[in-house]
Amino acid sequence: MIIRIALLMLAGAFIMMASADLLTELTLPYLPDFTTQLGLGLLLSAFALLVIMGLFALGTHIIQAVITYCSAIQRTQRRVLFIENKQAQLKQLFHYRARRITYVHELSRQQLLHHNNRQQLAALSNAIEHDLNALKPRVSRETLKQLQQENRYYYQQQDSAALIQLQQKIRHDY
Amino acid sequence: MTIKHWVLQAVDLLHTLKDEKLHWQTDNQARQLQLKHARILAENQLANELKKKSLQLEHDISLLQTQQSTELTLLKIKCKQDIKDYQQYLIALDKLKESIKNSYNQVPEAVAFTIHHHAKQLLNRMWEEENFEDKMHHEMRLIQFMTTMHEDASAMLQSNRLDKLPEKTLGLITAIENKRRLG
Repeated sequence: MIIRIALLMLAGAFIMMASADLLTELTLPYLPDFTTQLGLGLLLSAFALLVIMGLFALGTHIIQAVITYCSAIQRTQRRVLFIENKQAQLKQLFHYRARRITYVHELSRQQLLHHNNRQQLAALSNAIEHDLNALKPRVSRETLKQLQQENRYYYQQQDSAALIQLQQKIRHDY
Repeated sequence: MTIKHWVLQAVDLLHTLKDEKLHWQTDNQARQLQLKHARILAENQLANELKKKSLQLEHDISLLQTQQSTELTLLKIKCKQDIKDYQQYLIALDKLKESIKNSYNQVPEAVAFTIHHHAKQLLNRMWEEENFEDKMHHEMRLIQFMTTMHEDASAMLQSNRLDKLPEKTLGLITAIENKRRLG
């Protein structure tokens, strides 16, 4: 309805403009000016009406949207979504917590193993040192020193295979 | 005259339109009310259902939290027990190594170390296995190995033989290694 009025006003404005042109052709005084002013006024009013109508429609839309957003259904729907999300998060969190516990447990097991390995290697290295001390009168000082260095080096490197070979070598060769 | 006639006609048309609108409204008032009522009812029903669902979900979440905390506590206890068991195994292996060394005076530390190292490898293989059947299989192997170590040590103490090395245990290591290489 309002659009129709605005369109009619627009059409009226154009007719006014056309008649103002016609009146100018007829060289009438004052009347063309008045008609042009009227036409312009009508044109502006029509546009103003359209703009006001647009703003009003926009405002109504916004208010409607706000009311819908705050309505009980939408609020409950959002709450349900929030809870569902929380549930999924909890499940994921549980998974990560379980993995963390397993990881820490595996780490402490590795530490135990590492500690035991070091202990055993220290025992082996000490045994080699003992063997070397027993060899002292039979081998030259340089050889003894070199063997002792090898023993220390392999122990520092935690090289069990080399330490075993070293002891076998000492037992067989000397 | 004609313009007046037109204006009157337009006014008449407007009145007719208004009349028709009024008639339509009177005819359909009941249906309109019914529809409005139905819409409100449906909205209320939906809101109630959603509320119920949210309550149910909240209940589920509290249940889930309890269940998860219980499971995590159980997992922690299981892990602690696992570590304890592993430690016990390591202590048992250390003791077996000591008993082998005590029984065989001449055994070189390298041989004792190799035996101990092999037993530890078996233990780790058992521990790291995910498949239950394979885990049991590895456990059986480890127990068999430990038993052989123990048998070697006690047989040497009981008899006065002069064996230099725990032959049965070393033989078992060779057999296991050969089997691994082939299989």
